[in-house]
Amino acid sequence: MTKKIDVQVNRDGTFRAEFSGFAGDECIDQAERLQTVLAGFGLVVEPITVERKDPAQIALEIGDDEETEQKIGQEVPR
Amino acid sequence: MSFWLRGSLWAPDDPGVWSGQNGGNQVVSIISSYSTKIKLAPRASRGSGSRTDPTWKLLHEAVIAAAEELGGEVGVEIADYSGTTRGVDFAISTPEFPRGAGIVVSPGGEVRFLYDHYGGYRRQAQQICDLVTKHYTTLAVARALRELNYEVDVAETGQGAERRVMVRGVM
Repeated sequence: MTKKIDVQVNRDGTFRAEFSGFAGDECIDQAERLQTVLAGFGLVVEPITVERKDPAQIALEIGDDEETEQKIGQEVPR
Repeated sequence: MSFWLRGSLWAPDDPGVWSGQNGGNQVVSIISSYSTKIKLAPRASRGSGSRTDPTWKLLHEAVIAAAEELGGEVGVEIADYSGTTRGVDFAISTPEFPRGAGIVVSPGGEVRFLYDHYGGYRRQAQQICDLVTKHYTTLAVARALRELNYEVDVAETGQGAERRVMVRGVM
């Protein structure tokens, strides 16, 4: 499954990050790693809210990914 | 900070945790929002080549980007309402705010914005500061994602007050 981090940066520099496609603890680990690496680039970030996506949203993500993989499978010439 | 994230989000024995269908591995997706603060490397660690320090260069790039977005200029001086000038590390003056907003970096790396908004220029001055922070955040996030081995794309969406930057990392 494709791992994605989508970051939406607002006009005042605050941002919203959406982590998708990660298994288990990996999601949180990536969020923490991103914070650590950002500190190294001079950006100190503090989480304001953290929401877990609900099963329906996750199912949609997986469904989108499987559809993409099937399409790619169909396009590969034999 | 990490404890806060774990405490709020992950409880291995939580019966509400969903078991996904991704080859038996549990899929978890989260959406987080963050406040940001720019803090450059301390002068001691920047050494004699402080102006080549990556965090300093990022700030310089962010300043240039903010100035371009506002049709302004980058300099090293700002003025108060009476015309008295003061030196700063970076200054952005714009057609809407010719006095300019300045950026001063302390020896410890703290970034302060400096301006005289007297005469009704608070919005214009704050806009400059916000844009510098926005561009710095964008640059830092893109570089951080690349460092984490993601393929990165950056795009701007929306217009005016709704304008936002999207940084996407894919692995």
